Amino acid sequence: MKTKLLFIIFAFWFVSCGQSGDEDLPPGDNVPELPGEDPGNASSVTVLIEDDLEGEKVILAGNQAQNFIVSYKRVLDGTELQFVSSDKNPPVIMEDTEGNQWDIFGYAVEGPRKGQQLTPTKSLMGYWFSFGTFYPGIQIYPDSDRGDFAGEKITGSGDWLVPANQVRAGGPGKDGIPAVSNPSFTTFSLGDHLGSVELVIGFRVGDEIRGYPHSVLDWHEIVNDKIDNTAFSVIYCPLTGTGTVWNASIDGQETTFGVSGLLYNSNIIPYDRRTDSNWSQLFDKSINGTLIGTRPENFQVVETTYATWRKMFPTSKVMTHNTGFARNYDRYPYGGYKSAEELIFPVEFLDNRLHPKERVHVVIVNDKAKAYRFKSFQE
Amino acid sequence: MKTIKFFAIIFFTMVFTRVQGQTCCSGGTPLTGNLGIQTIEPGSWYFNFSYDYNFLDALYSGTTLLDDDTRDRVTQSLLLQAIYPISEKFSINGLFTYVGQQRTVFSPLGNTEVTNAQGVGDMVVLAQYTLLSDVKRSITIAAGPKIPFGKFDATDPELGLVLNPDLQPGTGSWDGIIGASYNQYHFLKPNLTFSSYVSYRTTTKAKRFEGDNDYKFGNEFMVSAGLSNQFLIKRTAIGASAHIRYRNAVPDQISGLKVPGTGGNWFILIPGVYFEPNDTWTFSVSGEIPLYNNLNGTQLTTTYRLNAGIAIKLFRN
Repeated sequence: MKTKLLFIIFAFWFVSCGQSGDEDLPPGDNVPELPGEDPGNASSVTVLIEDDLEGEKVILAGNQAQNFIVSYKRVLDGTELQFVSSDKNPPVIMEDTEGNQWDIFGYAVEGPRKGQQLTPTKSLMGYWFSFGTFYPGIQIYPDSDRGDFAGEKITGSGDWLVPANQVRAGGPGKDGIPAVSNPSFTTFSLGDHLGSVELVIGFRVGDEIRGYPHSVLDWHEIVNDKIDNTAFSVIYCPLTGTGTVWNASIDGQETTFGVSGLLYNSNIIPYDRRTDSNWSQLFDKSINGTLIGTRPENFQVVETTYATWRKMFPTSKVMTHNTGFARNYDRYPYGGYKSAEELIFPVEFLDNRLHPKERVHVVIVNDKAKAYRFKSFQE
Repeated sequence: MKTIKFFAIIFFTMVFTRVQGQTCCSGGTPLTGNLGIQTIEPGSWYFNFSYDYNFLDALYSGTTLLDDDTRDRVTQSLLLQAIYPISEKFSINGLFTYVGQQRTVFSPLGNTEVTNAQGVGDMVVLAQYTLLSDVKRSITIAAGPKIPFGKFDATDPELGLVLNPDLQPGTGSWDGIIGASYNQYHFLKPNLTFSSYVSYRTTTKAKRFEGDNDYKFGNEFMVSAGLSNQFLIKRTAIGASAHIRYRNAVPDQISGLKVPGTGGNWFILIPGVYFEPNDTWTFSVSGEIPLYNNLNGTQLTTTYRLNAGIAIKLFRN
């Protein structure tokens, strides 16, 4: 009888272990269908959209299958360029009526303007809800409607440029999510640690092009790096899906950034290690501390899939999983967050016009924002 | 007797099949693991005052222990358990706690960030019913609420921000607990006792951030079984025990969304010693050594745990 009892207890324990296993998702190919994306009907052609925002003439290039949207100012050296989509090999994405071919970073790779670069817009990719809350009254292309929060704005309190009571402790504590400061890189021939549809944040200084995979950024959020004499920090917030690269030289002094463990509107608050000031990635300035009000210099980034990145820049370097920290980079740490309607932390303005987690490209001019959806780039 | 055994097995297994399960960083308020369901003779009071030290620096991803030294957690608790029999069969079992939480993060630059929170923790009140108690065995079942006495809005002293739920002294929620214990005395030999314990805690939501969202700790299931051997040295009873505990917790939820790195399965060895110089006093020390962890996501979990207690039985006559 006693043996039976122990056997039954063990058997049910074994079964129950199987019931509540790890529900993290791999970052690679087996990701579920994400809001606003329809891989089965994705257009493989790069589609261009011309638009004006706050008097700024912009050109947007988007490709659903290759999972990228980039945007540039149409005016270069006083001339307004007229663009058409290009069928040339990647990374060329468009041509103009002057006969120039432009790559995804906005460089003219052929034509009379070879070597020149279009001026990147102030823009970034990320989950819709994050722009809805940081830019209340944001427009969604092609509509001019500004939603329910038009006229609202973020106002600070206490020692903060944002409402102090809306700053949340995210959980792990200051540096509980360790930033990587000595990233290692590999070439694509050795870079098969990534899934083909995994997103990569691409950054370029001169001829040096580097890719920073989400599988690392999901776990570390910040990578402090340097190319030649340019020190920069790749900052990625897994909760808002937003990636930026900031110049790590502030007021002429070099610093690195760390993860404060704080969030505002569910978005990362990095801190700079020289002055300990807190910054908001999406508010795009220091919001607390001695550098309060200082804006970071944003470098242009391109976000796309690993497969696209590899095809466009086969000689580029890609960050490896050798970060100096032991993490399971094969697993996405936030479970079903990418597709769930729910947020982990509350936000100030929740704009319900789109699914909260739909990835959009947002262009910001004079603190006014406009969102562009992948579905607008259907051929 | 066979019938009673049969129903005991059925009871255990029924609870097992509903396994859902405490949480994350087991740094949370230690409650069910310290809730011993004791069978007390009518007319006596039982008090157990104990100190619990839970050290967590093992970072697991699923079943894999990661080589990480970036943080640790310590939960220290003072626990007072009181049991009072209302009748021969019924008794009231109460557990009162005072909890201190500490989180230490070792920055890659060599800095150390320490965050503390302490205060009165939650309280549990169980109604116990003794199904059977004789010289050979005892079976007791219990049920009752976990009352959110503990602070759930403790703040970081530097920035004044509300700390994470697993750093709070309390859980902020009313929960329900059911449990049962089965003891068989003279098991295989005269001084050997087989004892087992099963409990299930179902949780409710607690409001956070001025009600802007809610947090629900995961339901928890626990079962333990083991042996204790007692012998006498000059009228002092000395005992040694070893129990195995299985614990399952389902992931916590924030506003309906599963919280990453919470919940899982733990298999723990609990060795202990005690001595009873007389019928009134019992002194005990026990530890917890993890045997097997299968955790959701990546989370910090117990490396070891120590508990030292003094129990006293007060007889009315």
